[in-house]
Amino acid sequence: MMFFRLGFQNAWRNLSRSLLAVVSMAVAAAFFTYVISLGKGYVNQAGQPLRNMLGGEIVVYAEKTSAEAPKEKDRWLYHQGETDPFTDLPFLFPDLAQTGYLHIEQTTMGFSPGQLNTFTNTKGVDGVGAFHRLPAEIIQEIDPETSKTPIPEHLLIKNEDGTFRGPEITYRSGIQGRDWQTNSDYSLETFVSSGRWFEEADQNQWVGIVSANQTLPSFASVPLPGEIITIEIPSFVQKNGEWIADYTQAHRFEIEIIGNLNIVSRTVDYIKGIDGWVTEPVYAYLNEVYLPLPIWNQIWTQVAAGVSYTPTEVLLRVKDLTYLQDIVLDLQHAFPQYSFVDIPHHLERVHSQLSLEPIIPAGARRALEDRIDPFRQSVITADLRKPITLLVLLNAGLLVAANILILVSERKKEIAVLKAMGGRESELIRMILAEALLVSGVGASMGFFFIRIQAVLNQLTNPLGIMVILGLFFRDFFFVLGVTLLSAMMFGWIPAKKYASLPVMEVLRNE
Amino acid sequence: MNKSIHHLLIRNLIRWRWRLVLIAFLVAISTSISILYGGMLQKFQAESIENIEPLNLPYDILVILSDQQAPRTQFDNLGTYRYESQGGVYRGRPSEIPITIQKAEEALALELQTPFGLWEVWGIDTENSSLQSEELLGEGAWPEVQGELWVPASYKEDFELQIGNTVPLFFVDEFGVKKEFQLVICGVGSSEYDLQKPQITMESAHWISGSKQPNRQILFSESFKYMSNWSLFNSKMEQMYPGATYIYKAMPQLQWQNLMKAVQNPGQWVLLLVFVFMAVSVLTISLMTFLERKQELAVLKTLGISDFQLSFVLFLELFTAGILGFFIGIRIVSFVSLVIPSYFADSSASISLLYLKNGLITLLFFIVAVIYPLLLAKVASVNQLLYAREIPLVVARYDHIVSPPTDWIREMQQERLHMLKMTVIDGKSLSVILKNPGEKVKTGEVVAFMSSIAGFYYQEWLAPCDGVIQSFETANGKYVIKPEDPLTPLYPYTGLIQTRK
Repeated sequence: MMFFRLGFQNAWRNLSRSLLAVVSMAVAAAFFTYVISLGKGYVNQAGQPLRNMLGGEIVVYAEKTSAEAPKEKDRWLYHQGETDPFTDLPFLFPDLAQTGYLHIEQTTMGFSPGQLNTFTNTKGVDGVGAFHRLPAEIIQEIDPETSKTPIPEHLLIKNEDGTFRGPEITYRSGIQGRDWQTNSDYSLETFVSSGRWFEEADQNQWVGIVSANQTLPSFASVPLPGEIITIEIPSFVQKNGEWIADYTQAHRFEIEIIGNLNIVSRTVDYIKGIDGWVTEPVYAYLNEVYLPLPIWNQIWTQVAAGVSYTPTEVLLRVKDLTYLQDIVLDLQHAFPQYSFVDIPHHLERVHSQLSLEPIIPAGARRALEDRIDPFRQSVITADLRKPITLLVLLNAGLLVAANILILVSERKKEIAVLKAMGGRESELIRMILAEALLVSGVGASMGFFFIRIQAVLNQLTNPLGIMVILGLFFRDFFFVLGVTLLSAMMFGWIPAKKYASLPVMEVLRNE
Repeated sequence: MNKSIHHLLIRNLIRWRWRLVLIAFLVAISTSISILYGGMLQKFQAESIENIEPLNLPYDILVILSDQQAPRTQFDNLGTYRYESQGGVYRGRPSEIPITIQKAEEALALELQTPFGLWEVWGIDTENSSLQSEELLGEGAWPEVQGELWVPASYKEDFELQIGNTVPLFFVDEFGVKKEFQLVICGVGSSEYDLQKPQITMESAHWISGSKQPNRQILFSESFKYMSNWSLFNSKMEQMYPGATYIYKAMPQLQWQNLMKAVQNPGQWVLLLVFVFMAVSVLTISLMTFLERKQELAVLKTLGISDFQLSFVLFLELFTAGILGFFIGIRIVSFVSLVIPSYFADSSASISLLYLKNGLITLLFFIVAVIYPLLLAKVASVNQLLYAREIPLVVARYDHIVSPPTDWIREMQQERLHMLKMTVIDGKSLSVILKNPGEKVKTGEVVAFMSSIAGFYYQEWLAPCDGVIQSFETANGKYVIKPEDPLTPLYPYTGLIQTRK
């Protein structure tokens, strides 16, 4: 016990000199802490409003577009043209049809119910929901009497009685089916500007909700709550395993609009004249119609002649976003045949395309337009977490060894005296190791707290109890501390053994 | 080199052999890991490109014009390529040949709703169009009149189409009004080019859409196949067609290369970490060695070795270890590439570059790591070495005020006083005052000192004359010395106020 105390006293006395070892251990522990997935989370509100618009925290596409270190059998192809109409790509990334993207040749056909279940078995995934979307067109008959802008004569259609009626205007849209659970867990109610959000009783009603901000042709107008809209859906025929939309055999359906949404895509800060810095919202413009899932299914059954729907996009639900990036990485490694994107990144890409934001406050336009990026395909980076951690720990261990070597060599006399007084070799080793452990422990704790604080702040915003957060905190702390102390022990033992085994006379003679 | 210094170097190398071997080992590991890992990344990059093929296009560049963008009639050079003449008087003489666009065609692309999904159909000017060659035609004929449609071979197979089939379709105009049309297939393509679109005559496109403004421009260039500077090409295209999308044969491969760079990104971190760790380890070992050898260095300095000679000997010791480590590292790499013959990608030029680059980076990190202990050895005085005093890298000494306020100058002149300015913050002196008011001082005696930036920077204030400390004001740091001899000359401050005699 006395030798332990001596070791601690020595370390404490020389703490300023041990600074390099402390700092290197701190860096090693910080990195290690980061690697065991403590720095890759998000706060609870990250990725909004896209999370609620799509109904999940991780998007999974059946089409493999996430590039990774290629395997020999993989062949990648360039695709240009219409994007998969059953996914969110046509309305989130409309330019993609022109610019094209790379995808793997062997694309899976979609997700079977069995495959959906396998996702839920992944640690951290709390639920799974298929994305139900169909391309659609909204039909509006324009009344020349009520139209706000005069309709050019060549567009007017002559009735049998000689009077004129307005043309039938068509604009592109999509219908998205959402089940009741999604509608309540991922509600867009806060964005309802008029009318209301779905209620449980709406599940079998032909009702829909649209955005109050839409990109429309000249004479069309946004359908208001209470209005009945006509939507036209092409027929779908399966050929060689692919769905082909027959636009010449379209089906018409009538939907009652019950609410309008005014979704804020993000807020921007900019300098506005004498007001100085102002913060203004940027609204999301989208032509999609949200429908109750049973109604969407009825429409699908009709347009696809009864063939069941195989989703090509799936949304995974994650309650605690503290580990979101790592969950995505783990999923990507477990299911390399699909593409996984976490919604905060997905939203970042949507923002960088300005695809939902045709109207931006004039003062902020320049700043946002400067940030427009070409579509960046997601990549699965080589997982080098383990080799990097090993390298960091090895280095930190070497530094501890060097530090102990020097500290001990400076105190050869002291060791000789201790030995002369009857100190055993094992006791001296214990004394030296105690010093190494203190230096490493201080460094490791510093590094751990430095990185972990961000994760704790993220966790506090996520729906986790304080006891759970504390439990996770101490579990990880003891893990990081344990590994770093083990490394210090291993590397500190070499110099400790070297000096503790020296005969007293030899030490004193050389001094 | 002086003979005794030479001996000293040899003796030191022998005496500190294990410490130096450890440094050599670290450099060797760093060199070999960085070259081997860099080689692995290079091989990965070179091999991965085989997973993707270039596009097979019947033109060189397709420009998808943005809204309201008109096709161009004049074109800049897209870049240059190096050409070496194989014969004649210019044989072997390289010249830079510009990559020019020889021909451009326009098309009006329409999005049509068909029984087979959404089709992009191109309206083409049928006269002399390079997109309507014999090779591309296959069966039937090119569209000549309104209502005729040519489809690529893949469409025929995918949708079971035949010549003579009627394809009903819809077109939605800019007002949102949907119009119905019918086109009759007059020809089917033969060759398997990528991204081929169905074609109609330009008149048909006008008839369907009502628009006459082409929205595609197709560029042909004979020398485009020699293009290698893609960043220059991209900037030229961006200049010519701002905001437009352009598609060319090598595009998928370039996109793939960019993606692979992103995939490998953490790999670059590993390389950086290897170098940083080597530097930190070498720094620690050399610093610790310096600390251990303080007394030895003090003896050498006492015996008269110059600062330069001392730091030179120490540098040579460390550098010998570094170079030894570097060559061991190279040896490890050559051993690995002998054991695994296919370790590196084939290009020997890129391997040499890799050796050179990583070798230089290793040495650079190594030199940065050993600079600090070497500087310490150079600037340390014997006392600092012997009595464990801090060794500052930068020392500043003042026997006057650098830029005194005018009223202080006036006071100095009128009262015949000497002044120094101590560092004070909020009425507290940061300078450690060694001579307090009332005490006597001699010229050049240290009256105060201050150590800052963790001991790296050391300031000393020296008495400018023999005299007595008159006062020290902690409010502004004014430190006044009354000279024994009132005629002791004042420091010649610029802007000294001349008093009238």
